[in-house]
Parts: sequence; C-alpha cells; structure tokens
Amino acid sequence: MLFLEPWFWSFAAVAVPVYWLCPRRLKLYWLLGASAVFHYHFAGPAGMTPIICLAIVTFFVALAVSAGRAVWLFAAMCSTLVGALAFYKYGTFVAQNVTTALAAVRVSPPAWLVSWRQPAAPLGISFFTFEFVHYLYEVRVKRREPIRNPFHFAVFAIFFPCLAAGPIKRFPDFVPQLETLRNPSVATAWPAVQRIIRGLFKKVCIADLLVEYIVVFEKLPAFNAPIVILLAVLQGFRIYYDFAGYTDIAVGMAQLLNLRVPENFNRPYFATTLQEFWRRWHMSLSSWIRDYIYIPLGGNRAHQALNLLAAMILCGLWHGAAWNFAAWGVYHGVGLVTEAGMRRVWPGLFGESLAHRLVGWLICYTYVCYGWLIFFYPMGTVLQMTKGLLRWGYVG
Amino acid sequence: MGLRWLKTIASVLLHLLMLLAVLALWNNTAPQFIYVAF
Repeated sequence: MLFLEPWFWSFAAVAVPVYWLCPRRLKLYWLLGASAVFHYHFAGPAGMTPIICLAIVTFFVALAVSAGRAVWLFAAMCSTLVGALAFYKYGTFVAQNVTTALAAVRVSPPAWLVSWRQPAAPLGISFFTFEFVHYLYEVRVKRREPIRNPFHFAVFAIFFPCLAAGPIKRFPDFVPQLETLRNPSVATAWPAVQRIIRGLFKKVCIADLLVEYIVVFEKLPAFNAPIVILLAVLQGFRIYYDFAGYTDIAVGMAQLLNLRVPENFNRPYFATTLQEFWRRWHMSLSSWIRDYIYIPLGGNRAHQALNLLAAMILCGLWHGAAWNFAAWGVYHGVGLVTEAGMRRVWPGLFGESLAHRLVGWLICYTYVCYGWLIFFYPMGTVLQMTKGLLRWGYVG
Repeated sequence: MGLRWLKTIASVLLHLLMLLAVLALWNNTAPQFIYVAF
C-alpha cells in the first residue's frame, strides 16, 4: 500500500527530521541512503537489482554519448531500457496471446512458451524507464550536459517520494536543486504538510470510499443507463482522487525536503476539449509522451493523425499489459484525431463563448467518462454496459 | 491582519478535520494506489 503503510510513516518520521538536522554537505548522502532503504523495503533485492543495473549503465552511457563517442550506444541503451520494460511488463501477455493465436490455427505452441512465467516487474519500472530514456534523449539529442556526480544521478533515479509512481521527473529541473540542498522554511513546510493531509484525505476518504459503491453497482445482475452512467462517473472520480491523492503525498513529501517535483493534475475534469484534458491529466506522463514519442514521430508537422494514434496506443499500453488498456489508448487517439480534424474544418466550433465551452465540456467529459469504462473493465463487460446504455427502465 | 489570522486558523482546523477523517476511515486492507501497479 506504500504511502498508506504504517512502515512508510515511521520511515518518514525518521528520514525527514534527520534530513533537516543533517549538515548541508551530508544532506545528499542522507537522502540517497533514505531512498535506498525505501526502495529496498518496497521492492526487495529482486526488485532493486534490475533498476540498479540499468541506472549504472545509463549513467555511464550518458557520459560516453555526451563525449561524442559511440553514438550508437544511445540507441542501444534506449532499446535496452524499453526492452527491459517490455520483458517485465509484457512477457506473459505476449506469451499468452501467441499461445492463443497458435492454438487458433491448430499449431501446438512450444512447451517453453506455454509455461512462460517471468519474474514480477520491479516496483516503478515504468517510471524508471521513462526517466532514464528522457535523460539519455536530453543528453544525446538536445545536447544537455550530463549528470557527472554519481550521487546526484542516484538520487535522481531513486528519490523516494517519486520512486513508485512518479511524478515523472525531468533532470534539468530536479538535479540542479541537489547542488544546494537546504531545509524548507516554515512558509514551505506548512503547505507541504497540508498537501500531504489533503492527499491522504483524497485517497482514504474519497477514492477508497467510492470503491465501496462501485463494487456494489458492479455486482448488479444487469446494467441499465443510469447504472452505467453512475459507474463511469464514479470510476472517473475514483481514479482521479486515487492518483491525485498519491501525487499530493509525493509532491508534499518532496516539498518537506525543499525539493520541487512536477505536478500531475490541473483540474482535468474542467477541460473543454480532449486536447486540453491531456494537458491537464497526468501531466508528467502526457508531456513525456508529447516530447519523446509524439514530437520525434513528427508531431503536427507530418501525418499528425498517425502520430497521435501511435502515441496514445503506447500511452494506453504503458498502463498495463491488457487489451483494454490498448483499446483505451486507441479510443483516446481516435478522439484526439477527430478533434484535430474538426478544429481544422470547423474552427468556429471551438469558440471561447460560454455556450461553446459548456457544450465542449459536456462532450469532453462524457467522452472521458466512457473511456474509464474501457480502462477498468474487460471488453465483454464494456459491451454489456454499452448495450445497457440503451436501457433506461428497471433491471431486476 | 485579522482576516489573515482567521484564514490561517480556518485552514488549520480544516486540515485537522481531514486528518481526523483519514484516521477514522483508515483501513489496513485498503486497495493499493492504482498507478503504483503501472
């Protein structure tokens, strides 16, 4: 349960005050030690080893790439990072689907494929991969100066408030803060404490309470329109309050150490277009996808629709190895492509008047909420729910 | 000045209430954070 475990709060009760008491030159090492303890506790040696190996290799590859030597290393390292993510997250998924496909064409799959079980994915591997790829890309393509201090790089890699689920940090913003670690002022610490309390409240008192209702509605023998609409709205609020709660605790904890990390949300359900929604929802991920997938693919310059679709499918699959996540990515990709097309053909539809914005909000919110059904449920259930949307009467 | 103090006291009280609600509803078998699984 991570931030909800008593262990975490005992850990924080020691790690943060000792950090404050540490002389300035020792703060970095204390922070690194505390992050390592946190990582070890939640990931164990089996979860830490692959991340440490990838981090060490990434550190040296970035130095080599910045020195202009062996540029092919950049491509090889990025492929290794993505390959490691694919292996841990999608191995079983691919093996199962290949087995099913072979069985469908009456070819017996090899025994090793049928019994394929890979080790559990290391904690936060999706987030590590994104931060390391971002780091290498910035050093190689944008010619940024690499991190030369291994302790700085280590803290960037395993900084404990953001270790498990982000926010996905950017090294040009984060690492310079490590040069001058200071204690927070009261004016910084009190808002940080408030933020942590609000985060806990969002998770414990809103998101987890919504789950209790969602479970009841899910168990109904059949779906009708009011139930499906309610489920979609509840799931939308549940995922928002769950992740916004997590983010508040992570950002607040970083603030207690006087460090700034990116924000993830900016009132996403107030968005009036899908494009705006993706600028407000899980911002550290959506901006990563924009900068390191969408723009390198060509962005708005060439075949925008294909780039949008590819970026959103990858975004969907990043959330997990299941077809519903891929479908959710396709769903949002299609939505964004349609919206971009309409913006080109009928720019007047996206006016700034209150009426335009209200209608825009209603369409966007409805689209996003239906998307949560695809995100949370298997395709068969979504189909049942969609049919249920046509039924308004009582279902017993 | 007075208004600032009033806002501060209200904020402290509100956050204390939130904390109390969190402690009251604390559940050791609560679901994991959704995004930690990703």
